[in-house]
Amino acid sequence: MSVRGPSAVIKSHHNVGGLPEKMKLKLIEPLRELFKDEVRLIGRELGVPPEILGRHPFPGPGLAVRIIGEITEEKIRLVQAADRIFDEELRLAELYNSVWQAFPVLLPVSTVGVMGDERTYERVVALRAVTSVDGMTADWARLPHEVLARVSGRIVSEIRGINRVVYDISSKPPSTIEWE
Amino acid sequence: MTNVSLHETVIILDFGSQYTQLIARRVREAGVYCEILPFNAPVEAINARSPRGLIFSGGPSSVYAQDAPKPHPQLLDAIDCPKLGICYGLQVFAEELGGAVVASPNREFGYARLKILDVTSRLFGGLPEEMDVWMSHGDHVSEVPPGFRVTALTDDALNAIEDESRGIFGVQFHPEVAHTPLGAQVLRNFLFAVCGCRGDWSPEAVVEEQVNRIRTQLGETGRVVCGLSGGVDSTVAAALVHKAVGDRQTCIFVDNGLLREGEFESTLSLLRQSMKLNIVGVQAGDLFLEALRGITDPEEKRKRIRPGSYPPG
Repeated sequence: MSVRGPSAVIKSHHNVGGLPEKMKLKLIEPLRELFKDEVRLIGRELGVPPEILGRHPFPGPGLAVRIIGEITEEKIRLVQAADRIFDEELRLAELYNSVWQAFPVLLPVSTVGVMGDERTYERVVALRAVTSVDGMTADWARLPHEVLARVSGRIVSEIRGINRVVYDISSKPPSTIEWE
Repeated sequence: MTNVSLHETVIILDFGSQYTQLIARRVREAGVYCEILPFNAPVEAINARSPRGLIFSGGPSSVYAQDAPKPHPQLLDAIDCPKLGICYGLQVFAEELGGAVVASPNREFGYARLKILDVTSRLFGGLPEEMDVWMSHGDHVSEVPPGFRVTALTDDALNAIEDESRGIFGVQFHPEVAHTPLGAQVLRNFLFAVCGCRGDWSPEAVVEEQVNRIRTQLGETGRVVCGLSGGVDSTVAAALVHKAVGDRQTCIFVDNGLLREGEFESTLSLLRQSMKLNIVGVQAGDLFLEALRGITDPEEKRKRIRPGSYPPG
């Protein structure tokens, strides 16, 4: 639903922006009048599995906006692996449902580290987790240090190519939830 | 497709308040369907929805300013249902109906103590004689329009007025915000006691209505293509269409190579098994990666992934 009153255009879930202006198809928009949490209620009524209904929002361009700089297959694998670890640890700590979104961002920065007796020069991953009611405003999630420590430890030890993990402590506004 | 809902409908006119969406939420939470329309919506557009009630939102303007947003001049008479004005909405009533609005010496933001003068007012039924309310305004009503009476005060200043015979109610405080703890009750009073709504907006009712709409739109033979992402919105939309027309819907789920690990396979099998959706999975990762090669600018990335931009030109 998008309402053009004098307030700024209010954007919600509904998005048909990519459709061509001229097409032979007609549009069915059964959810256009609903808020996000109402969509979830309708989904429950229709028997949509809870693992779908409880999902964090995921951006249309996908991991492309979570890899800063050029996208390569190798970087996709790195960010996918970090994402899986962050997701697993949040669920294990029973925190998945209390954050609005949580994800890693792969930065186009390499930093020096030391692993074993070796000096390393590898990528940095930023972890982002926010609380929000509607995605319009968001606060960075105060995740327990132990959880952050486990995620960081696993990312650096399990993913070859990442030697540093940082946590994003910015709110929206002035920052945005996604980095791109 | 017609927009007209089969449910009892309340219309909220948006005068630019940051809280307009919140008003809509409170109304829906009370079980009443509502829609937000721009403040200058034509009378016919509003009447086409057969509203049970009309709510005028707040807004950042002053009603006496030259470019202030005003409703259609005949709106108050031409739409035959009860009306509630909130903050700026109240001031619009005052200005349009022969009262007056002036700038306050002190802008008022934050908590205030509301004293209800008339406990028989239908708007304040079941509420204590005093309660905390949230204020956010710089103007106030200085002259009550003819036919109206003052029903509540804050700090000895007018805060609520009504003309019961015409069904017009106005409050200066914001009943829609959480900082007005009993505000939801004020809105429910308007919806149920004043407008006579029953509260027929429920998930079951929405499903039934949408299923009927989709069947009507598609007729006996129409077919549907659904772009599925595995997210909440597209999955619920697909589930609705599936309930309406079953396998006359074909869902297309594209792996653009930028999904989460294992997402493509697990979502496909989950949706096929648990929801019996007719889904075609398309693996197109190579196409997308090729289009993104060498691109670092965030806007350009988004542009190249956007639906409709394929095959990449």
